[in-house]
Amino acid sequence: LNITIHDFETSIVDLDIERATATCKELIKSYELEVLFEAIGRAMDVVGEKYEKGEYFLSELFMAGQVVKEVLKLTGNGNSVVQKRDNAGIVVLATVKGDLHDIGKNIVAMLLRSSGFNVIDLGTDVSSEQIAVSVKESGASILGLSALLTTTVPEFGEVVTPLRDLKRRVKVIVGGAAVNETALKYGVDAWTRTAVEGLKICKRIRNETGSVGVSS
Amino acid sequence: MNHRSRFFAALDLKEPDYVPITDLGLDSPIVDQILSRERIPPPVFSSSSAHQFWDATLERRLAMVEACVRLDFDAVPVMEDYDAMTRGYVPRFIDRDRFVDQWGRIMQDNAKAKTTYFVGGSVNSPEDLENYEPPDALNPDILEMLDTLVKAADKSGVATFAECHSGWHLAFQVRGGIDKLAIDLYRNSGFASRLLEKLAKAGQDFAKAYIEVGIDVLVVEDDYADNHGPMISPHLFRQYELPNLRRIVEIGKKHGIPVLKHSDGNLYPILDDIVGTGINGLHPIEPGAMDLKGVKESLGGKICIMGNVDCRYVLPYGTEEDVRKDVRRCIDAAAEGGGFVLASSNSIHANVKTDNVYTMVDEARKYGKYPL
Repeated sequence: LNITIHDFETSIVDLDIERATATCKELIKSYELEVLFEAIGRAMDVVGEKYEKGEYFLSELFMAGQVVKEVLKLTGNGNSVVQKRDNAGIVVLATVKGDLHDIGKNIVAMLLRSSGFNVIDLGTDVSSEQIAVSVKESGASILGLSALLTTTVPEFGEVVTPLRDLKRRVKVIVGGAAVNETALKYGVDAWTRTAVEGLKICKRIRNETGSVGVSS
Repeated sequence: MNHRSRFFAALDLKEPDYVPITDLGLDSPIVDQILSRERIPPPVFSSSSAHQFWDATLERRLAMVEACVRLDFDAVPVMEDYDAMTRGYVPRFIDRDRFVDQWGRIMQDNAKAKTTYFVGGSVNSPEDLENYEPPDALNPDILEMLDTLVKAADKSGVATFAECHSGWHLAFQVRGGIDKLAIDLYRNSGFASRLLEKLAKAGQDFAKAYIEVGIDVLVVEDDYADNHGPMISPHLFRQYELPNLRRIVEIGKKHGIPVLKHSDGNLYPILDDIVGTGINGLHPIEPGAMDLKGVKESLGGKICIMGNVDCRYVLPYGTEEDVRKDVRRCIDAAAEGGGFVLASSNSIHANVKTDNVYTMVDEARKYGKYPL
């Protein structure tokens, strides 16, 4: 049986966890992990396209994330496809203080990890001080903030203010049910309607900045 | 026309004298301001206030009815299943801020946001599911609470509605998240089905209990979508959830009780399925996710449209003129020919400006007089 990288990719796109793990087990014998990780990234790009086109929905994004999670267990690389930290874009993610919602943020984390980003997920209800410390210590190039509640959106401003001296290095992207273009007034660099759109913005930043991710 | 006849004219897709006004819920701080009273009970659950929940909940719901009447609403939300409890009910606290509620949801207080959030669930294994029992809608304590509320509302001449869930929404909460239940649907469909069945059955029992105590209208609350689209794919929705919604509609129809469907988000990919169950109305046609005018044009001859004054930005942060403008936007888009009820785009949550609620009603009465 001649199993190809393409088979592996399509099994992820098809959300077929058994086929994805079986093909991964075979391919891992003859390919570098980097090749498999690139295949995961391409597959998740297709999943994202299907989501944007309305062929897939949140349920399929979650399932794709589950498939990738199972596959990554086989590679012994934790939950990320990142191999070399200094080659990856480092992204700090957090749901802002006062807000406990994390579904959207978790999808973003999964998509970013599948695309080779090094994600530092600070969780929910995170203070601006905690976020600032993490951004500074990690050398992140991107900060992703989530807010579901109308009342927690102004917290974006509290987070951005102490990061002003890092503005050249760190791009701040915000998303969540309560977020629209008015969030830009808090000094963030971009806002996003969906996790897939957020991934695209992060990739664009990574390309423009040359994969910045060096610890400061 | 009186309040009830005005509301029912809209449900019957006719033109009343004025555009009817209602809302699915008012958070307690808003109720307190409208009634000019000190807050009773406290704004969020806390371990120190874990007593007499049945009495406190009844008082809070009675106050909401009274506030809606004072606002000149035509229909009032009498009860929702989240609030159903027996007299001896006490939340099971996990720590200072988190507790397991009567549905098995893990909730967390957030005083700053003036609310309590769902943060997790209690069904994490087949054994948990086997032992899981949702509240029994036909428990005498719950029926007594319902009966008290309906009688109080009926005295005011308003139409009454009560809110239940068809299955999906409470199922993903009890399971601990949309992600967990969505993956279950793919990986462990038997488990997911049994959980959905338990909660669907509970929802149907609530629908029956509401009807038994004399409610005028049922509202099915499950959110099916976010701004992008349905949370689960249409084929999963049709297989696992649509039959649950249809059963509640059938219960309503059997007793001559209209059924309104609420769901946030972009419902377009499953809109025909939802309308096909026979619902009488849809709320809120979420601004930014769906087009109120377009939905009115395509479905206004079949169902009553409810909504959709923006409660994300306009009602919490808008000026008086912003609110008036948004009310006029809704009426212009959907009230022509009747079959429209004005309401917010979700609920009058704790961070809405109370003055803006008065303005919303005032503008609706001025601008919403038929003929338009």
